[in-house]
This record gives sequence, C-alpha cells and structure tokens, in this order.
Amino acid sequence: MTQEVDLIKKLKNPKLKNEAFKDLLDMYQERLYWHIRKIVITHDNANDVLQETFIRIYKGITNFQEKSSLHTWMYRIAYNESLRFVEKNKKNSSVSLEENNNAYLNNLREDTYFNGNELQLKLHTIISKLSEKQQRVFQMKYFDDLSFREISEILNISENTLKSSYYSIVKTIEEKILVSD
Amino acid sequence: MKTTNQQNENITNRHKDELGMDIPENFFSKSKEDILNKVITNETPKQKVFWLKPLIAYPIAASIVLAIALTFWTQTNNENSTNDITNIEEAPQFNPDLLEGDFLVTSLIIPEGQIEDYLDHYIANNIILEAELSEQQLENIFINSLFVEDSLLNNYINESLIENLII
Repeated sequence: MTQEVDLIKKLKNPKLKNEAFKDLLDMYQERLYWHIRKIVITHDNANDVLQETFIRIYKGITNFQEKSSLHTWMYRIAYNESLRFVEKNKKNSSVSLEENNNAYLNNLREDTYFNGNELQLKLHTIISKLSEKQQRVFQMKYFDDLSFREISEILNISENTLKSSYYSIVKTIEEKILVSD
Repeated sequence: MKTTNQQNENITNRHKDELGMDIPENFFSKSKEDILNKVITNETPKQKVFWLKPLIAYPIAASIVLAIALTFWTQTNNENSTNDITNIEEAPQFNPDLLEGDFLVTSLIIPEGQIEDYLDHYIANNIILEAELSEQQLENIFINSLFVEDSLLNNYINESLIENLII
C-alpha cells in the first residue's frame, strides 16, 4: 500500500512522472494485457487497446482523485477501453446472444496467437455462452485474481450479488465441462 | 519488484495453459517501448517559439514602436513644411490645357460642379455659335446655289459643315 502511495506521488510530480510511469508499466502491463485480451479476444486488438489504455492512464493520472486504489482505477480504464473497442467493431448495434457467441469463437479462431487444445476450446465455448456480465465476473475473479471488492468497484455491482453470481457461474461451467466429457 | 515479476509470470502462464492464448516473443518489452515512445512524444513540453521569448520579444516590440513613431513624426514634419508655403500662388496651378485631351481623367480630378459649369459655358459659346454659323453658311450656300450650277454646290460643302449638321 505504501508502495502504491509512493508511486502515485511520483506519477503526479512532473519531474518524476516519466520514471514512475516506467515502473507502473513493469507492474501492470502484463496484468492489464490479459484483462483486455479476454474481452477483445485477439492479440492484435489487445495490443491496440493496451496502448490506448496506458496513454489514458498517463494523461489522466494527474486528475486521479484516489477514491479507489490505483490498481482498481487502472483496471476500470482498461475495461472501459476494451468495451469501447468492442462496441466500435460491432457490425450491428443489436446483436443477439447467439451472434455474440459466434463472434467470440470466430475471433478466437482467427487469432494467430491462439493455439488452444480441445479442452481449452471447450472452455472458451462454454464462456462464450455466458452473458457479457457473467463472462466479466468469472474472468476477473478466476483469471485476473481480483477481489470481489475490486470487481464490484469496476463493474458497479454490489459485492454480495457478485459473490452469489460467481459461484453459480463456476458451478455451471464445471457441470458443462463434465457433461461434455 | 521480484514479486511483481513473479505475479506477472503466473498470470501469463495461467492464460497460456488454461485458455490457450499466446503472445509473440518479447512482446511486453516491445510494447513497453511503444507505449513510452507514444506517451513521451505526446507529452514533450511545448517550447516557446524563439521570438516569443521575452529577451527577444521586448526589443523587437520596442523597435517596431520606434519605427512607427519615426514614420509618423517624419510625415507630420512634411505636412508642416507644405503648410509653410504662405504664398499660395507658389503652389503649382491647375492647367486645364494639360488635360484638355483627356476628358475622363480631368473629370476624376476636377469637381463635378466645375465640369458642369465648363460644359454649359462651352455649349453656350462654341456649339451654339458654330451651329448658328453653319446655319448662316447653309443659307448663303442655298442663296448662292440659286445662282450657281448644281455641279459646283459640292465644292462648298466641307467636312466641318457636315459634322456641324450632324451635331
């Protein structure tokens, strides 16, 4: 926590900003990349969104009011940037859940940096059938290792709702994997 | 920092192993460079244009003011020297003969009222007179023609007479 406070101070100091920003990149670049990649699916798109995210972070850090942790604030920027990207690239504004699932799997197959085996593809297929909010909750908790409190701040959902929702999603996924086996 | 690296490595491995998602080699170090380049290029402090710096701007402003003041002062002096000619007769007089051939140019310089007076005077003195003379001449020719043969009549009619008749 003191490390984060110290980093914020440096980021807000024009003389130390660039050096502190390099440290920030070292600490969060990978984590934010994977958070973005799961939303936009392909590596190339994730790379574009990651760059936009860090540019926004760099520009916005002086106005960061510290109401949430730096960690959460950055995830929220990455999440919003990813959603913005997805919305921009949607061919139609009204897309059904089935079309969304297809888009998820099509993007995955088109990505040259996806080399998943049968089981991994099965997991993706199950995830693609969840609603968008359920996908985010599961991915943030299971893969990004964020706490319920952090997820609730990013998604604006109460912690209790998140908890119950997460456990039911995990149960559904487990059942579907077992059934298909 | 070592713990952060470890954490990052764990996250990357988890995504590779469980989701089959891969990344290009050295991707994160290249991406870091790209981001820093973009951010630092965008953030380069706006340098003041050299001539806007106070050290240069003030002397330039002062010289411009001085130049304007000098021009104004010189012009005012010249105006005074023109006014110094007390005897108005010394000033060059307008010579209507110089512009006689160019009515348009003259009309631009001479006030309209003056031109109208000139035209009235010209019409009264010259055109009417010439017309009267031509009429008289015509009468004479007519009377003479009574005595002279028709074939000789043409010799009396000259160009000026024809012009005057047309007018």
